[in-house]
Amino acid sequence: MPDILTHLPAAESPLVEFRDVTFAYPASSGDRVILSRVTLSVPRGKVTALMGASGGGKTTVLRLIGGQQKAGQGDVLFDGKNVGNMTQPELYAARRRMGMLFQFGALFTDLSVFDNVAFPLREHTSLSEVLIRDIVLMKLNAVGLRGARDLMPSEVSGGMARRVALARAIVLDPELIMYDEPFAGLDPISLGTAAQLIRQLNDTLGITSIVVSHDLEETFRIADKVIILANGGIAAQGTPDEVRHSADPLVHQFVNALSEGPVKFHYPGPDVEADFGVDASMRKGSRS
Amino acid sequence: MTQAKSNLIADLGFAVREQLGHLGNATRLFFRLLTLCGSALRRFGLVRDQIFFLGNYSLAIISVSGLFVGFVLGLQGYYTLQRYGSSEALGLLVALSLVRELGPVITALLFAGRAGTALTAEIGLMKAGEQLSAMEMMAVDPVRRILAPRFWGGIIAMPLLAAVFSAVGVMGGWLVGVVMIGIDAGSFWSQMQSGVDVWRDVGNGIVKSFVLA
Repeated sequence: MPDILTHLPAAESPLVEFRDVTFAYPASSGDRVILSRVTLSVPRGKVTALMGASGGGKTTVLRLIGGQQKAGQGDVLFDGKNVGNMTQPELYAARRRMGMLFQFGALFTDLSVFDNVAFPLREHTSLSEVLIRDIVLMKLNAVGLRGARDLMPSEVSGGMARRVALARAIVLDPELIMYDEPFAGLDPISLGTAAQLIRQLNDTLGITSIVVSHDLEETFRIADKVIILANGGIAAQGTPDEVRHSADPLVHQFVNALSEGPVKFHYPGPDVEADFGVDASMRKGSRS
Repeated sequence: MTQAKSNLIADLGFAVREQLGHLGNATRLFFRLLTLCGSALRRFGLVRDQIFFLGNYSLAIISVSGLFVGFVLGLQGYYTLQRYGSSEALGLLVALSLVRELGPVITALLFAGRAGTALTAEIGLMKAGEQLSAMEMMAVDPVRRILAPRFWGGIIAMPLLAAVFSAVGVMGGWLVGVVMIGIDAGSFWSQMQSGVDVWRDVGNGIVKSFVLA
């Protein structure tokens, strides 16, 4: 066995771990709690899917892992180290081991496809342009866009932009890739391609993937582990099959796409009566 | 009633605290940009691009306004000076008021309008498109990579533009005073040369343009 493999940490230790994490956005009317006492783990080398209703804190989880936001309470561990306590250089060193794919790619609009993918290399390494060219074309080839290297971001379709962004996310060979809604707004062909690509990259590069998604079908197909977030906590986690057959009413509502269930249609607010002035005393007040 | 009152006070406190927070953030960012001078100049390519972008695209509006300000100074200056029989001093008047005062101030205003809006639009777009977040996640500091080159590019471009403004303005004054009205070209230029001190006046103008930028 090659020497390098024996130095890898035990496969059981998760790459990302949340311990009792609470997170809230400050607001004038009290804090809006997004995550409350969430404990979860992302196993190495697997595809972990984060699902849940919109506003359920899925993207927040990614931002906490990337250290773009700090947890109010609890620990967010990346490879055993607490992201919240890192100094700026440590955080940047950790981020170099992560890749993140944003919902709409977030390509730099003033750079070509090639330069976008080359950007992290040029910022972080002092490789020669010849070598950069080879690496960039290899990564673009992996996402099937070697021929699109000279296009500008405004000239590529949404699906292609996301694949370019994926090439950019893997150009520094990260250990973890986070996908923020990779399937949103894609046509069926691009969607299938994207899903296949996520699985393929995970297996061939031996990386760990976290996929935030709403798309039940595709996500259940490619994920090894599914975590469903709801109401600030974890509603269910396990293999796709376990989650699909969960008895929890909330999970049942989610995987069967029902409009009625524990997740309410209305955002919490004042009573309907109070807002529309149906109440007798209110009506009097509004007329005067 | 007391409930509503205390809510009002709480809301006011929240708003004030938020505003103070914004102010504090802006100040911290400003000092951060000042300290990033070294790293911005080390990658001078980025700053150079910004000087080109900001300076070159502001050049047209700066030159046109400079020319017209020069016209006005030449014309009105001539009428006023003529009353006291010292119309030869027109060159000095035009040059001093441009180099010392109008050049830096008007250039700064125009620059803030022209380049400032362009930058705001550009950075706003990057923010909305999550490009800045993406950059952060690539372990690249957006302040260092995006803001610092623009800031220092602007700082460097500003005195250059002010100089262009003053030069074009003097040409404008010359066009009106010498070519149109017909005061003596020799006295126009020589008064200017003897009256404008390089260090005291031009230096002053450059310092002003730095500060205003």
